[in-house]
Amino acid sequence: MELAGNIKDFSVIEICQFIWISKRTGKLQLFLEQSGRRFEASVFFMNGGITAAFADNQNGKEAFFAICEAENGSFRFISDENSPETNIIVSMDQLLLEASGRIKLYETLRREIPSTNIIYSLSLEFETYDLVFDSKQWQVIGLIDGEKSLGDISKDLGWPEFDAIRIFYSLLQVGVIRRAAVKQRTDTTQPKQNDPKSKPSFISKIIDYLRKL
Amino acid sequence: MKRVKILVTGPFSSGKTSLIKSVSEIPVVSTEKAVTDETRVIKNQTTVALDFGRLTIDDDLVLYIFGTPGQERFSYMWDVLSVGAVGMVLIVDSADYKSIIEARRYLAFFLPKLQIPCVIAANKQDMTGSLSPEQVGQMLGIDDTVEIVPCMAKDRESVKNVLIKLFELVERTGLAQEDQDAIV
Repeated sequence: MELAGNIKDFSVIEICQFIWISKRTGKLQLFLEQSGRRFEASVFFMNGGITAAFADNQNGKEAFFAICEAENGSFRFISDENSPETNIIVSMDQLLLEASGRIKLYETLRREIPSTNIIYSLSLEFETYDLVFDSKQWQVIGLIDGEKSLGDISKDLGWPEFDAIRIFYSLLQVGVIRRAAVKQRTDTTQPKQNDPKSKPSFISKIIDYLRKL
Repeated sequence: MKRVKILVTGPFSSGKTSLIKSVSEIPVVSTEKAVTDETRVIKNQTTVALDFGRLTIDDDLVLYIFGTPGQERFSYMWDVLSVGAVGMVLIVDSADYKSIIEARRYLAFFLPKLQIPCVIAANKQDMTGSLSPEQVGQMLGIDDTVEIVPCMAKDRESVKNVLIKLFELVERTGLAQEDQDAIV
């Protein structure tokens, strides 16, 4: 399949993940722009793993991070083109993780906290003696009651949701809070949770029908 | 008459309309228009509002299958189409990395909102260069709890299998209400 496009549509990390999973060998050629500066870059892959990266005067991991941080640009993958040298020797996991950490803080937060409907409770296991909280963290801790969702607390505090997510994330990381439940939508048009033991017979009918279809 | 509704969604040109056509007992009602942007290179027409298919299970039970718009700019339609749905099939083109990456965004954005059982149909398994269901799962970043079913949307048996997997999941989760009159 053709592998070419714009990094506004698909991030460099996403493209690299795809190449990694499909175990391709070749060169990802990029024409990038960052803060008004245009530059050409390339990332080399061997059986899906990154072996080298070049961008402007940089090479190796720093070049790869610079590529990931680019705001605009296009890319295309050229199969079976090998790198003149190997300048990246870390695992793909580690490389992509580092890159993600540097450029996608919000995305990272969202992976841990995918919805503002999640309800958190205070963890009973954590020990406070070696933890220091800032005022925002204390405000959140004070409102966590095992019933209010992250979104509710964000509203109570008058914070933008991103700020609340960031604080919740920090508390999750040190184990002070834990996920308790997901708040159900109050929209009455949505399906409601039933007793799992009472299997709806019409579902069985549909399954039988499909099997015979 | 009990009416049960499921959604079929997925990125642009992933196979939603084909999947519904494969099992619907009526000609699929599609609201489509000619595309005018860069998607023209992929497909001449795209679903704007919905695809609609039907299966009459018995005298008292009908299954409706709604295909949702394939492009993000029509995402406002989700709130309308998802009302009362008991389950969802997310279909991805296993031979198109853009489709898979797009599907990951669908999963992150829509699934938490809808909170209904979902299976993933890894479509176009018959195409050269397509990723296996396991590889699609890796690309989507999902764990073993989400079932990924190999699929060829133009093949009736294959689509039947996808729908059976979905309803088995609905049955296991117990989310569907016995008395639900799901359709609008």
